[in-house]
Amino acid sequence: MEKNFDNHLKEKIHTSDCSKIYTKKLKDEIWESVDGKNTNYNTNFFIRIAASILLIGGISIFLFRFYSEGEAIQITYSTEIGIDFQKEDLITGDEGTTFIKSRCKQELSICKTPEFRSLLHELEVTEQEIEELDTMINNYGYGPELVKSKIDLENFKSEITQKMILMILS
Amino acid sequence: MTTSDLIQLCQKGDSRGQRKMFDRFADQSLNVAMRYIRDIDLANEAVIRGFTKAFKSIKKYTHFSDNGFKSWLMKIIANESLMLIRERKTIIYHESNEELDASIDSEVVDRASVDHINQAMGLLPEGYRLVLSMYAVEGFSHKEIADLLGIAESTSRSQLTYARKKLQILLSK
Repeated sequence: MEKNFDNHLKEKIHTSDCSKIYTKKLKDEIWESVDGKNTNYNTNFFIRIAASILLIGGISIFLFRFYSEGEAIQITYSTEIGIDFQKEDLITGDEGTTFIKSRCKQELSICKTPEFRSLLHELEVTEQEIEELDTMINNYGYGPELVKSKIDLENFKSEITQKMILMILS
Repeated sequence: MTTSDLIQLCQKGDSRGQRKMFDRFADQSLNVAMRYIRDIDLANEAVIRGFTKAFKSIKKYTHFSDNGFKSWLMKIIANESLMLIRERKTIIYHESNEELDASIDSEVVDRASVDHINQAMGLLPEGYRLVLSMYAVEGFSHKEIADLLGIAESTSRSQLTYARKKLQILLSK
């Protein structure tokens, strides 16, 4: 009986679901807002790409300087410790953290030092802050303040990640 | 162009496809939002947020039927409407003994005009109206309602029972 009641109610309400209609002008205005927010999601993607490029660039510059100063550093690559980069990680710019996590899984002693652990904590906090900011951006769209905060946080995350990678490689 | 064609375009991020999809479902979305919010400005905001979220998430879904897509989109609009309500005020979950004596008769709804039903729905206490709309019209489960409104499943069930009976009383007048 209750199911019938609900079904009848649903049918009646659905038949009235086009009673309120947008005017052409209002529909265009609403669409502009929707389209604007979609564009912002693309901007979000480009910020992530930019942060990834910054990170990779930073590491390359460091390694270049390191070699130029004649320091004896030997990095051996083998398939055994190869990093399994996922396509998704490359897109989201999280390759640095993936690298750190995969290396620390191998129980490197550097990962257990207080300095490294403190950086790891900072990285986790920053990642959480970025996530919260993303939620705010999804809910409220991109404002200049949010964009600035997002760039600052992504840069800070890159710095921490860079330091941690250097500690692992040293 | 069918809804399935539009879904495929939206999955590719095609802006013209998104616009056509918006044109197809905007009015219906506004009606859904108004059922929950009853404030045109907030309802418009729910429609904007709903479509934005839908276009962002649509790539994850590869097996949409036309009806499946419509009910998915309307659930998103309903969800965004609820979020807007919750951001602005606390929903009061009214419980009254007045409605308990009535037994449910689906014929009452069948006999009532659409306008009368809409009017009666508008007179329901907010908690009743939200839960009844979510459960009976949009097809949310009690668990989903409980999660979205931040209430216990038992509260969702009791609000639904009260809501049906109260609506029936209002429609009988």
